[in-house]
Amino acid sequence: MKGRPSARPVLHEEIHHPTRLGIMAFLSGCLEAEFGAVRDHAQVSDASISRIVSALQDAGYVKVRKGYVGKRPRTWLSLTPDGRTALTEHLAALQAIADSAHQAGADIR
Amino acid sequence: MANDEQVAAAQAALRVAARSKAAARERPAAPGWYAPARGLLFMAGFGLVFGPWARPWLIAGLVAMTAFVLVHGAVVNLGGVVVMPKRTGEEWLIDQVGPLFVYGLGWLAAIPFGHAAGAVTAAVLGGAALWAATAWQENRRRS
Repeated sequence: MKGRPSARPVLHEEIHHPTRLGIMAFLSGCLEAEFGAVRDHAQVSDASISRIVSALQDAGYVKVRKGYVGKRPRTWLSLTPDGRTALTEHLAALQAIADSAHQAGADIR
Repeated sequence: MANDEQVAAAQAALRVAARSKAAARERPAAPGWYAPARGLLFMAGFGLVFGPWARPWLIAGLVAMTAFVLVHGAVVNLGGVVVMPKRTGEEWLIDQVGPLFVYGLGWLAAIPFGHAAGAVTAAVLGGAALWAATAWQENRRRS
């Protein structure tokens, strides 16, 4: 996945861990996802995902919405605009690092 | 300049992100009743609401329109993930513009035959087009 060309490449510590990055990227691909769907995708425990979501929420990257489906309580997660920007910048930075290897290879030739 | 380890880590992270984003976008295929339900509810809703019918039929039409929206919402929300619309230009034309265009064409029947005929023809044609377009799109999703 490439960041948009105009995105400023910045590595964000809050989403550097692969699980956090995976959750952010998952949420970037949808409007909103149920807590359980995100947990199943990330393949981590409820407690771990709660911790990660709290940290991302504190950073202002993830919005948490609580509601009901019938009588069952549900929690919905979505990326905030700041979260989307941070993810785009982070991916642009990763892409720049990955591209530097190709560039180095080209320079040696 | 990044060292080999950093480059490998960055490439792995980019793969994780790409896989995760793709996973969120992959909604499970809709159940088999989705395409007919969409088409029939469209027919009932638009045919009853926009025709010159008595009040009870208008209410029935509004109920059908509400059911149309609820069915759509339930399918969009399958698997606990509300997907973003991700359509190619061709899919957009067939799935969105096509049925509306056919619905509009159906109203031409109102010129010679009157309001009721126009409403029924437009609703039947639009609903059938939506049924066909939805079935086409779901088949593409499954294949």
